[in-house]
Amino acid sequence: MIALRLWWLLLRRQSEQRLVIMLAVIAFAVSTGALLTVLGGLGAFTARNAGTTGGLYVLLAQIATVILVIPVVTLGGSAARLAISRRDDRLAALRLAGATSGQIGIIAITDAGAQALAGAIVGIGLYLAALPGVAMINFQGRPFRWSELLVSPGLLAVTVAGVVLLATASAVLTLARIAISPLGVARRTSPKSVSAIRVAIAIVVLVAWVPVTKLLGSSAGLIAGMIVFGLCFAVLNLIGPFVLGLIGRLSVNRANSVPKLLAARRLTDDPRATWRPVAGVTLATFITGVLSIGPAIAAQTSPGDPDEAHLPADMMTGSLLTLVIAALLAAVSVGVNQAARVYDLRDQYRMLHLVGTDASVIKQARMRETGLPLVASIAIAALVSLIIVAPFGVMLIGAAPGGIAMFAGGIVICLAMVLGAVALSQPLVDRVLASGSIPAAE
Amino acid sequence: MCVGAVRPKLDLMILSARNLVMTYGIADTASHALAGGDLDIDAGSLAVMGPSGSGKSTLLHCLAGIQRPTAGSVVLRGTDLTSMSDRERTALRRTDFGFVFQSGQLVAELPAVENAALPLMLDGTGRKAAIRRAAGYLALVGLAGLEGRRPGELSGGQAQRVAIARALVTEPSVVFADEPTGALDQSTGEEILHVLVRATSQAGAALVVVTHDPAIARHCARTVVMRDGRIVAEYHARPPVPEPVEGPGPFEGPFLQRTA
Repeated sequence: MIALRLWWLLLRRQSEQRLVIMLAVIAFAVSTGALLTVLGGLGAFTARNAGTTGGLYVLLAQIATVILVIPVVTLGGSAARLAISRRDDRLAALRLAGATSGQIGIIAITDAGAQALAGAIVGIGLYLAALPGVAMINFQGRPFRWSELLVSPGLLAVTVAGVVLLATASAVLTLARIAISPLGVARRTSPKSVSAIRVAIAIVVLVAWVPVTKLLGSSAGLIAGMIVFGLCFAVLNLIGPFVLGLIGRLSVNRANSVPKLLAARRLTDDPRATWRPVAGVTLATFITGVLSIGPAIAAQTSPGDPDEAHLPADMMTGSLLTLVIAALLAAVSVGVNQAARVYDLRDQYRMLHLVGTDASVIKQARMRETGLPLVASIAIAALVSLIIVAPFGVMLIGAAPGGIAMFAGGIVICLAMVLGAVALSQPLVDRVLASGSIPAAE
Repeated sequence: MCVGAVRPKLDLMILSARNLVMTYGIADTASHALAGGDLDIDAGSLAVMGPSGSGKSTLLHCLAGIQRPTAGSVVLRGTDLTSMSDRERTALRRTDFGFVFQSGQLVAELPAVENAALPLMLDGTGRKAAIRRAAGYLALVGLAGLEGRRPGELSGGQAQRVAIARALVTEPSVVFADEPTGALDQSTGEEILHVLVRATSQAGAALVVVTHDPAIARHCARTVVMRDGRIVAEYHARPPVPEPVEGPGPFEGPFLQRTA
């Protein structure tokens, strides 16, 4: 109870934390909004096609849901990490004032939960605001009715509860990894290595994918297929940091300028932290790669059934819709992560500037430490998506012009989004540099 | 490289500040962090003392070209820092000044030797040459053998030694230290101050230390005391030019002689 009262006290006195809190709430809101929209769409297809032969629509809607749930959960997770890790200094000060680590834990977790709840409520608003737009999209030859897209109150409550639960669980996990002592936050002393076992697991999952696709005809096989497909997303997050660590080790020795050296050392020092800002676009690239066979499949589908007359056009619409949502989630993830990174490194930037580092050097270092992981992540995502597509025929991407356009366009948009976010967050860095005081003298 | 060799100083006066005023806020609410004062920095060590809020950090920021004073001049070898652009002052800090702060000044991802080599690399020295020179300075501050350690693997005192090596690596004219022992225990603090004073003088740089600790000021050749943005007293532990003194006053020990 004391902890909760302290939390309330802190909540009303955190003006300087406003930016960070806002970012976390935005991330929670967008993930909730996207999730509700997707669930609404799934519900609409299920209701529309109940008892008809349009089962394929339901299946495709389910696939789209699986595809989008992973980036939603990822974004929610990084929002929770943001919510909790920004509070380090204040929590350490509370410890100094005599709060127990249990009380600190409750404060931090309540914080993440409250921000998730606020975000989820805003997210419901986003979902409702997007409804008219989504309803205008034609599927099966007619637009949606609003009532079709509305999720039931029960599902709404479950979604909000799920977002809050996810945030709280992430907060607990984050807290377990740091020790907040009265003298500050002790995090680590040596580089965090990323084990090669990750690669082995990734290979096993990707190899398993091929036989599983042969079973997709049966309902059990379909479930297995969905699970393995979901695991392929996880595989991206497994091999990504490993590859980044590898690139870092290779580039450290060749780095002969400060931006190159800083970027390479950051990669080797904590590959997971450098992976995080690009994880969102990796998922988006992967989704683009997988969906880019959509146009060809759509073109090949010959509608024999009157129910499926609109199928080719609808598959295109569905693929594009999924892509747009994935891109939106990636954009928010990138923006939030870049801002959080500036916040994390602000003392270092300030110190580097004080000892005579030009703002342009810091800018180059930022571009480079994001650019390297970005190119690597897009390459990995493209490769894994090609493996996913392989059992159906990689040639399908090239079979319809739309497929190639989608694949290439997706990659270009992802690159532009991340580098744009780095550039857009530069004013934050400039503000840090302009504040110009010596860290210890504050 | 000539670590340890004293560079010849043609002119004893390195940095001279005149009439420094630093005002925050406007009109009625204005507060004077610096209320006008002159200070000359010569080769040797200078301690700037005073209670918190007395303006000693602001003075250091102005002397080091970190902040531009509201009025007054800071002249380094004939050039006024206050008329330089931000970019020029940044370059000046990189080449002519060295900095040691209280804590948190090393880049966590870089090993000790690369942290020390950073200013050289920023100024265009190749990585190999920069690292070789930085290793020499790490040895000078007693860290030979620990070049590959990361800041997280160093003790507080060792981290300060790396910072001292980094401050000296460009062979600056002045090293500025803001409460360099503030985050250390008493005996480590003493030790680090010894290293700082010795290494800067061996490298031929002047030293300006901001501190509120009289014990630390005792290590310096000269001490100025600040109060309310003004320099209110100046002591010489060892006067640079011997001059006749009439013996210590009633409250002054034999070591500190009041000159202003």
